[in-house]
Amino acid sequence: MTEIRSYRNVFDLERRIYRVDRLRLNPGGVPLRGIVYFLALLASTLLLGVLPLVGALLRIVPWYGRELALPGAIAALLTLVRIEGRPFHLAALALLRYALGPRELAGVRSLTAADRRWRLDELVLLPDGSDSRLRRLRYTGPGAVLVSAAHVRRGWRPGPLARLARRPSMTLEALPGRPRPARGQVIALAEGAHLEVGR
Amino acid sequence: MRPPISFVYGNLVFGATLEDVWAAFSVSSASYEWLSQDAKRARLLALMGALEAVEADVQILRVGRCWNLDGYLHELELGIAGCHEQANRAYAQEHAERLHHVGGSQPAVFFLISLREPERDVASYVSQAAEQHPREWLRSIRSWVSMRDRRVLKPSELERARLQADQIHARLADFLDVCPARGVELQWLVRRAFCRGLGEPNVDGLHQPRALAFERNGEALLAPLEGDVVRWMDGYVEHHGRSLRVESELGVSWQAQLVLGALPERASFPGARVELMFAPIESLPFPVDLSLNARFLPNELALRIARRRVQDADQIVRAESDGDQGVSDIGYQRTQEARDLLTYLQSSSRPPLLRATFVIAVGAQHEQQLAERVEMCRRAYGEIRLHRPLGDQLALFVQQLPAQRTRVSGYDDTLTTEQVAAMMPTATHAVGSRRGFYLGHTISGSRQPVRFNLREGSERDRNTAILSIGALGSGKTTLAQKLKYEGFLQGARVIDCDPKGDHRFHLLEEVAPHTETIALRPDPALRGMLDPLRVAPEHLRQDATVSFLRDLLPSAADAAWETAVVSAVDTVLRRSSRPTCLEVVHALCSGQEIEAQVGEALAVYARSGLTQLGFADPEVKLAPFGRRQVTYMPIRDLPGPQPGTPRSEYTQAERVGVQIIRLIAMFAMQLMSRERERLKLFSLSDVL
Repeated sequence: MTEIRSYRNVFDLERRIYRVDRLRLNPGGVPLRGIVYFLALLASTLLLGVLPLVGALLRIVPWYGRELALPGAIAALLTLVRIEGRPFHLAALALLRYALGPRELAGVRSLTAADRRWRLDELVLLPDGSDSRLRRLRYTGPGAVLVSAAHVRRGWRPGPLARLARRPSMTLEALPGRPRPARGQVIALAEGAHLEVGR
Repeated sequence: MRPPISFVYGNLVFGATLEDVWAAFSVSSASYEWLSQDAKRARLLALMGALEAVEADVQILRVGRCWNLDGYLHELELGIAGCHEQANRAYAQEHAERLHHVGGSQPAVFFLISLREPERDVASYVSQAAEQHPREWLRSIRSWVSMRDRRVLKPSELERARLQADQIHARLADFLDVCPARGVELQWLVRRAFCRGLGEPNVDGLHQPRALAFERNGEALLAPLEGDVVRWMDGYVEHHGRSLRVESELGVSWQAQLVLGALPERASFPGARVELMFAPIESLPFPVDLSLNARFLPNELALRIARRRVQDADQIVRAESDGDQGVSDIGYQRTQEARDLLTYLQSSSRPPLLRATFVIAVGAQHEQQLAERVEMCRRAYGEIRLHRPLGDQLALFVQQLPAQRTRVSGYDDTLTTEQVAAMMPTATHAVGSRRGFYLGHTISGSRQPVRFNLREGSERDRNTAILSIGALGSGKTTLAQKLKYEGFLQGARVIDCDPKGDHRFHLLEEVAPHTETIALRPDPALRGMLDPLRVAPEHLRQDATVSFLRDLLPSAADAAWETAVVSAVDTVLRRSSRPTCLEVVHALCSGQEIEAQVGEALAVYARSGLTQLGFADPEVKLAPFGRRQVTYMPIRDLPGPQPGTPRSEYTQAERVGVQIIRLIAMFAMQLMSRERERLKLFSLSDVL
């Protein structure tokens, strides 16, 4: 027989405060989680206190009840409860996720997302280089153009005048009668750069 | 929610992002319940070794696969090759009806190993980086700062992942019987989740997710088509808080996801309290799916955590000692356990830890059935609580898909590899052959069908004998008759020896026309039928004859008598072309004083009782036999020793009984050896 041990106790520990300076708290100590709950509840109470209708209702309760006793009692209760084997805040988070999340799904995606259709606005057809000749086109970067036909390039220096005259940054012209190069050449275009392909 | 799987390539499964790559392996399950303690411990060590060797996050999936009834019936249909077709069909039909009620599921086990480096703390990370080449640093930095498109993949990255998967395969194969999961299995795993509790999904075995290959600035890139995998997850899902309602091609599946609570602090292995992926679920009459999603904590990190926990435990004890009630038992115990954990982690094997969540998925056809099944599951796990988290059912459902990490917080537990291995994910009750007729089902709650292939021994070059042992009325004779009938349906030559006269196989409507009966009784017409010099194989002939004749002699006989028998047998074998035991008796009678005495004693046996079947008389012509498919040989009142009686204490009658049985076996062997290609069955029951 081999004994299989679990070290759950070592990892599943709850921190408690037993005394603050010389002041002893209750004999079993106060869970640290409870203090965090108390502070969160106190903050919520203060926040609710400034709201028009709820604030008026809350102010009926004296300040020590509103800001000490009530959050303290609720925090103590929440510290004690474990919902489905989890501390309250984790269970509450799961519940919140469930409340806000989709109830109906297509596969594992919400129906609203699955319902969305992608509609093509504009169909752009670019020659892919498989033609026997270059087609006339004008293209603005960013992007890359693969040229597989024999051609000659003319680059123009960009400048305000060139932009005014709508002169392209580069022009390609076909060289008819020349054999196709063995490998295509890629021309990378920066954003806004124009490429014009002539005949 | 992003699709939980973005791409599948071979056995590589890409999680929600292309950076999260997992390698999927199918692990063979094996029968476990009846293993010895040492063998079970060997299994535990193998699993521990595998978990430690992979050094990565791991997901273990154990999924109940419905028994393939259609496949079984199809296989039977193929086996009907012009031999007793009608009987075969009727038998297959009976099995189909029976198996509908038996149900049965068999576990399919998958290990998914993350190819990503396990998460480490800063110190471990820096130590690891220091061991690397600066080239690796540059590559890491480049991958962090680069703004590359996360939806595309370089072929080199894919190739690197494939190589990593191969390395992990090699590591796992050192400990377990694993093979890379096929695309169709992964597709089945995904689709299966949507059809849970309903049956087996229809899976397109040829479908493989594709990727768009294109070139960008001279570099080849792959853009996986996520839609191809999303297609596998097609189904309308309703989240009902504590359950899911899934509409699939097989109907509506109601599902509940349960999470395992605290494990027992100390438990013995082997034992049902630790074999959590085997014992409880095998006791259930319906299939459930299990998933263990574990984060790998390398030893260095685990040590740091443990040291911190020692400090925490000490601090809590100090704080408790300040209180009125002093240190609590659990507080004190925790300090000891934390130190024990530290010692465990500092042992020579430097074991890692696994932060794991264990999820159980239950499926049913309707809500009421689901509630009943959940209750049965809870009962099966006994003291270990199963939680059914409200609002987290969908996350847990996704967590059960391949290549997923824990998605729900609050249920993870830090386990040792020993604890995970002791869960025995690969154990099963399944036994029997891969092929052959349905024999019955296991007595576990899962009632797994058992098949038995009569040809398995000869096909695999292993022992072909079947020994059936059981108490009176436990079904040995019924089992033998069932196997004989199945052999008969397959066209086997069947010889059925029936010492008690309680066999009914030969009386079956379809068997009777193919049966010949040879009643072995003290009849002069059958004299010599079992003569060892005629029925024994040639190389055993002399020994078998001497043994037979010697056992007929009184136990107090002189050693010279035995010598006389040996000598006479030898003489007859030398001089005769067709020797018989009667000739041996004649040879002895014509000898000197001692030989004559032996001859006279044996002559008595040659004339009377069942023993006369062992003395062939050349004048007695035996009717031809062995021409029918089934030979039924009843033999009544055969004396036999009580089980456990030492051979030296056998009475004369018991020795004779044993010799007759031996001769019957040799006779059957002789009949069967005529047809080498045919399946042959010889059944001999209740002889001891």
